[in-house]
Amino acid sequence: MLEQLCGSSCSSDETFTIRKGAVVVIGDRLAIGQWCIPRLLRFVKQNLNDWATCQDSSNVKQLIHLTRALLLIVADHATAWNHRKRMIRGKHIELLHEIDFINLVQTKFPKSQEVWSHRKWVVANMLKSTDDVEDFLEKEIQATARAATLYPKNYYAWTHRYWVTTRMQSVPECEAKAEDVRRFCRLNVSDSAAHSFRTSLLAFRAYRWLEDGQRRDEHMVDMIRNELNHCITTLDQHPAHESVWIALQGVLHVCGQCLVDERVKVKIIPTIFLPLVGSSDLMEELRAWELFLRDSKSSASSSGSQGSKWRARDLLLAWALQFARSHVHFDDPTATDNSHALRFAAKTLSKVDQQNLLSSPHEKPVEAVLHLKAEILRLLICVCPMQEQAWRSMAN
Amino acid sequence: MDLHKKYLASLKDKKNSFEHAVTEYLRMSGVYWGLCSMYLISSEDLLNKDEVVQWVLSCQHPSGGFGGSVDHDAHLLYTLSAVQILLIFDKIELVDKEKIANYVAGLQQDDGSFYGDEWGEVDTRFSYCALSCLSLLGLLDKIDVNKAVDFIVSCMNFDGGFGCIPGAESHGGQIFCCVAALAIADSLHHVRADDLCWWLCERQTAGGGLNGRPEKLPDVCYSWWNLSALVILGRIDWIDREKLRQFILNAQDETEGGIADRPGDVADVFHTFFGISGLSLLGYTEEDEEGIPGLRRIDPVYALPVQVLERMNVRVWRAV
Repeated sequence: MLEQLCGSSCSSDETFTIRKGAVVVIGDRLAIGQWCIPRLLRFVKQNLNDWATCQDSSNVKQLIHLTRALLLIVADHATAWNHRKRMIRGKHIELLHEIDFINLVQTKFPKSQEVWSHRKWVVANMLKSTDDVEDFLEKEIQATARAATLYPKNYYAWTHRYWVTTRMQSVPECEAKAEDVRRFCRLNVSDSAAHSFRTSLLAFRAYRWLEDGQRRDEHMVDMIRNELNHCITTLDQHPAHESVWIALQGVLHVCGQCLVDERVKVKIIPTIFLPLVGSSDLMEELRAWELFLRDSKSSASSSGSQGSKWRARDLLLAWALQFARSHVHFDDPTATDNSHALRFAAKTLSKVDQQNLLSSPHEKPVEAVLHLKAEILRLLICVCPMQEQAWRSMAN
Repeated sequence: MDLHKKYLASLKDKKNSFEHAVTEYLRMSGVYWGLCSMYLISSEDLLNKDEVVQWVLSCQHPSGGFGGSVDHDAHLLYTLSAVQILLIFDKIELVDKEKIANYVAGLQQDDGSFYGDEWGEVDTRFSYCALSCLSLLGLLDKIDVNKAVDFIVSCMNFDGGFGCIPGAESHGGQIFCCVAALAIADSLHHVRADDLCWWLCERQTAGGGLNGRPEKLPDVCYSWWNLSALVILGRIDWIDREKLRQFILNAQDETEGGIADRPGDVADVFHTFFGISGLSLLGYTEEDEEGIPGLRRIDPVYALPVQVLERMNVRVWRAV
């Protein structure tokens, strides 16, 4: 097709010379000269519509060639992908062969949304016809892993991975996948898409688990604990990474939802939360507060369990505050670690506000917490002045 | 400003370039970005109105939807862009509004989400395209708005942000789509405004530019996506406006005109549009005594010039 178009033949006697031919060979790499792309695309365009509207089977082969050439240059060309979908429906292209072609395209265009969209359509059709669903989904996960390595923070690769993983039936497999991603996150600390995947997967499993009256997912508690520990150790080593602080926020959010379950409280609170918080002033203040709440609520309901629910949530917030505080250099506001720890602390405090833990018509506010809040906001305005109005709004 | 006019005018002459060839699939949106930019800098007469309108109409399919260019399949993204172009040119009466609305409404699913086209991709961007398109045509009642809202809300994450599908990462672009869509549906009360706006304002990096996700580089296009969401939610003061303005101005190409994604890079029509729109949203319009003469106001929900919306009697956004 290229020779037909450009009328020049390629020669590669000088491996390191760039010649003005259509095809260029440099070392072991094959390339097409950029100058001939518009001509190639015009040729494809002139012929594509003609071939696509004819129903003749010999045209199908030509259509496959044309779309392949086009998509290797313009992977976002949705109409070309649609032609291929029609050919798949007409059984002119095998689904597995299409996956191979997509894998090839994604070596060059790992983040293109159109390619991922087409891939999802092909996979959805594969899932209807294949017997070995788990094996196929495993290969899909490997494909997303390759793309995530080629292009960091690959939004559509991780979104596809989430879509695939949430279709896996086997829960231990699901947990193994979570561990694979934690490993990836340890090596790619700033990859916000990978961190987001982990928190979304945790949330997905947690909500399913909470809705299951029998709580059959035996691995759920371990998963929460593993995710928490992962965030904590990563932040202790890399406290200046915003993505990890946000991931911790997400994990704590899910943890908070799961505290209704005794097993979560019994297994997570003593091992993770208490050691750091146990003896702090903050904890004493909040303990006094939860006792008051429990006493005032017990007249309205029967609740020991209501009281213990409050206690667990307070504990979680107190821990979060204490953890953030341990990463703030109060004596050196300009330290690079400070900004994200401070923001995390401020957001945690706003949650404390939302749960009305700071004041009540009957008791005086919890002094230590209020003092900490003022200190953190003062530092935030100093360290992150561009968002001053946002921080001031938190003070109200 | 004159350099930008020159840059925008020159785009139509680059038909043999590599960039022109490889972006054909989204030409409808490209024309909207170019035309809207021209309108915002008071130079919409740079384009031949009749020629462009004829071209837009030639991209319509029997289904009522529009493709990205001639002989490209119909898609919701380009249907919205086509409607926007026709509205700016005040030529919407040339199309059958019912037909377009039926095409859009036919893409809504049982869970309230929207397919982008017949092939079934779901994305909150398409929810925005549908709601915006139908609202502009005055035919929003063709869809189940409550269900559309339910789906968008299901894409809200713990940080207050929105992704493309439930469980997807919060992203500046998706956030704009969801917040603007909820605004059209009078459903902004679902948004956790404080949480979301804290996340959005934290996108401002040291140089003043905004990124779309944590730890990414700043990009001029987020001067639209993030900023419009902040404007809609009434918290534009939560970022440093002057620093953002400076970032956008530094991303201009001082020789050829146009705006790039960040200072030092090559300009393109996409970033030129979002840079100009960002400056307009920041308030540096001709209406302000210290504003830029000739820079008009843009609406943060519909991404159309305010004057165009007023001409059509469509509600112009006033942040609460």
